[in-house]
Amino acid sequence: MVLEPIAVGEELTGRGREPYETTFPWLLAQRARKSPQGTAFRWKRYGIWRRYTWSEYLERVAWASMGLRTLGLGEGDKAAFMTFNRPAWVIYELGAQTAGGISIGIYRDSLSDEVGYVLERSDAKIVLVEGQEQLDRVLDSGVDVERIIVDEAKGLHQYRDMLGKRIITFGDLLTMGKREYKASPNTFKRMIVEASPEKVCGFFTTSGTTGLPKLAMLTYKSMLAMAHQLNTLDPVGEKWEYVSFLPTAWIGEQMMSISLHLLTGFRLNFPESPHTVWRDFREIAPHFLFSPPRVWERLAKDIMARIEDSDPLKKAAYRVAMWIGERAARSRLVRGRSKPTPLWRVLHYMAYWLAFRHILDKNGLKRVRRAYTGGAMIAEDYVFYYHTLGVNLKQIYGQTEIAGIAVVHPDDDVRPDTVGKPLPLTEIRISEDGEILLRSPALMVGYYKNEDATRRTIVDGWLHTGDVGELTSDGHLKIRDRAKEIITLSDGTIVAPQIVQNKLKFSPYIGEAAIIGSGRPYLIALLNIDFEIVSRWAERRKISFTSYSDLSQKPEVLNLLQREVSRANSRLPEKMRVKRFVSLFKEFHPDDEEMTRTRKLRRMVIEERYAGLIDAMYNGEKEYELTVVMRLEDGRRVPVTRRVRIMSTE
Amino acid sequence: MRGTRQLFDVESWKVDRVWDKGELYKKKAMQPETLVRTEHILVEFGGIRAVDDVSISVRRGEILGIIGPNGAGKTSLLNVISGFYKPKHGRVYYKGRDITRLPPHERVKLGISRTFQHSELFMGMNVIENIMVGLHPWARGNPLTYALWTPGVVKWEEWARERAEHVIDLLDLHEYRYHIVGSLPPGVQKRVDLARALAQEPEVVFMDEPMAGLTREEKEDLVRAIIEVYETRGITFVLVEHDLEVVTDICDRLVVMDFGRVIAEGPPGEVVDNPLVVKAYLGS
Repeated sequence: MVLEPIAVGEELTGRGREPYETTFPWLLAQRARKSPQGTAFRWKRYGIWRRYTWSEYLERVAWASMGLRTLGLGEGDKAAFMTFNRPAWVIYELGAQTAGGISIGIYRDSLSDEVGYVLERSDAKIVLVEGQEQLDRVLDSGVDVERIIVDEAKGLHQYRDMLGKRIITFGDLLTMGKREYKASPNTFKRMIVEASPEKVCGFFTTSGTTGLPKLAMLTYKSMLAMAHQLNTLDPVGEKWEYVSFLPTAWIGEQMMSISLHLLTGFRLNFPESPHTVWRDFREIAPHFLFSPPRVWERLAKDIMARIEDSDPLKKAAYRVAMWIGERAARSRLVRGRSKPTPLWRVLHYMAYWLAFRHILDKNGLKRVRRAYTGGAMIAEDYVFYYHTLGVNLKQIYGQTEIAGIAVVHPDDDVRPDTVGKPLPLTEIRISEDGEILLRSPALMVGYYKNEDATRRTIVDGWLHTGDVGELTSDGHLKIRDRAKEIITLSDGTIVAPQIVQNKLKFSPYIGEAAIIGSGRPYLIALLNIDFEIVSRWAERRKISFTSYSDLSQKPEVLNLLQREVSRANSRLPEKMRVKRFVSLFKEFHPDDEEMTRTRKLRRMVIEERYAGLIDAMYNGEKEYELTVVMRLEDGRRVPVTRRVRIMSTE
Repeated sequence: MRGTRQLFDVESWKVDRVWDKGELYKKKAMQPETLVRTEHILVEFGGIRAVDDVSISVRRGEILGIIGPNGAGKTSLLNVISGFYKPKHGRVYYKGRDITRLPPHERVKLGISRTFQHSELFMGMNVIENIMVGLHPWARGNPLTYALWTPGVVKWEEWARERAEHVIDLLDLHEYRYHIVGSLPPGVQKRVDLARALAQEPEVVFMDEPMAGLTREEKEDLVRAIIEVYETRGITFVLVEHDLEVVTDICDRLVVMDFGRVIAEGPPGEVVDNPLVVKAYLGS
């Protein structure tokens, strides 16, 4: 059954004066009208990429919205979701918004108390969960949501008594909605026509590096204004592929898979499962992607480690190609941004065809035209690395409060030390104390149930970002760090820990690095090894180990880390060098509150938790008996004690 | 090729279909019926009686555990039921039909599948291929048609792949699909072994020492998989097992064997306190 085209207007966009003054359901209806048989998204299911057309998409959204309405979701009610990237997510989200609801994303790996916090805070009425694991978390959170919709029905037999009442499957929701839709087809059309662009369509959790996450309220207009600005600067083609694999609750994924998708109509692809993301990614080979630095770091480290494992001839070819590529990339990115000389261009072209193209192909990056990184600061080295390989990696800067992106590198003006220029409709200003202020139509309405914070954040229509930065003479924005994160050493030197951290993390062996030093004479670092890469390194050297904790404390590994830290230090100014470090026997983890769900370090928590160790490091001790409470996968907390060696780099 | 098309229906949302199907099977499973029955089975190797006059019955919809110390004759009995050994004496019935003389692949077609103690998988092939090999009893054609890749063969391959994919989804093996089985950890190999048995859409699955050599976590994963299949597909399980803890946890009924004979039978709670059983396990 294909839904009758909904005749609500002729143009694809533009209910108001501006192209972004419209709503998601409206755009979806127009897409389905313009190209009913065009591919809206694909989903890998039972090993095959299945295609869903725009009319199928619209039809399912219609069923979902009618179903949700029947379940009692009315104007302004909140509908939460906690799921991996699957069609059920976008269908549910748009369905809820069409029915007048407001969507809220919860990170799918959140623990019960975090789930409880968001559900409680947002007054969610209905929640969509991916499967049994997420269902358990919602039930354990103790928050009384009216209905729970489950997408993946595996393991549901345990809840037989609640099934059909409080818990229903996503299939049931669609079936119910289909019936309702047939009974009164005009209700759905009316809901689409009546929705206002100024209506709040979603709450988005802020990252919460420095406290509990807040809920930013965004309207259709602000979401679409952001997508429109990005699309004006970097137009996206209808035939372009995109792979959706980042957390669905994150604003970055929301702006790509929802706002930009509806506005530009590219092809969205949903992987089979979280474990198969990279294989699926390679199969699709997207034309553009947006990822936080950790994904780029992961990919680069993987490439470097695999080159290490390859035969001497390939290694040599890679080295030569890298040497050529890096020179070309550097002259393009730094040296007065003049183009490299024709000779270097030819050499780079040859290096690309002989070496880089194959590396990119193996990693699904061969077709990438534009790659964005944002959400945290990326190390300059990675920017050079990807431009050497021929990937057009551009930095973006933005916040949840301004619908994701505010500043981005124009295509021919990428610079590793800046985050780019403001988008067409975005204004930027630096306050007297160095804080970055932003203004654009994408600005949020405010924080939900937090007037105080709203008043502090939006002053006279300007968003106070809390980040410290400066503008260069040619209009590029340079970020220093979060204002709260800046470290002042005891002699008054100001250090941005991100820069030091990124230099350390460019080593493939260092997975995570927390830089400490406020009020102290010098910087120290708490390191996590990159388990995958260090374990491969250890295997090659016939070093036996049992687990992460064991491997991280091996003397050989500590010596390796010492070399890597010294190498990073040699590229930093004297005051920003790390004098002492430890390799922790436990990885920083969001479940232990040491990181946010988007994997950003919470340095305040870390400084508090490892206070004893940090003191010992500054007291010049050689060893320290560290006790950490670890949370196991089944939720139990157990204290673990081990001796860690304090390493010095001098 | 029963009902393959409807499984691929894009129109309705796949997920709840499987669940409904499970309910249907469950209802069917609730009807009391003896699926497999053995009568006075006798197996001898030279002068040793491995299985001595054993009569047991497997009821539809139960998880039956066959336990006993090493050399008690559990695996031999299983080999008789699945058709690898011919008993010297005695009969095997499946749903009332005498199957004593049927070869193993015919029994698979009737609905009896099994897994092996030392997972007899093809270590050099990948997961998909291993599962599809289990569907061989249904294969059509001959070496020539396979070499020519005729339309009939292509259709069969598609059907087999579809079945394999559904089991992969059921047991969460997506990430291992193209992995060579020999390189996988033992816990995953056991799951692949179970997947191969389940792809045959059996009514009863015999598992030979599924927990042997697994870590605690792997055991938990496998038990979860068994229960999931049992609950949603209503498939009857017979576990030939060493691990008393697992067996008493999930089985409805236990049969205890020692020196080729059945020495006790009944619900797990009763059986483990039986003095004969204690003696067999711990010595006097």
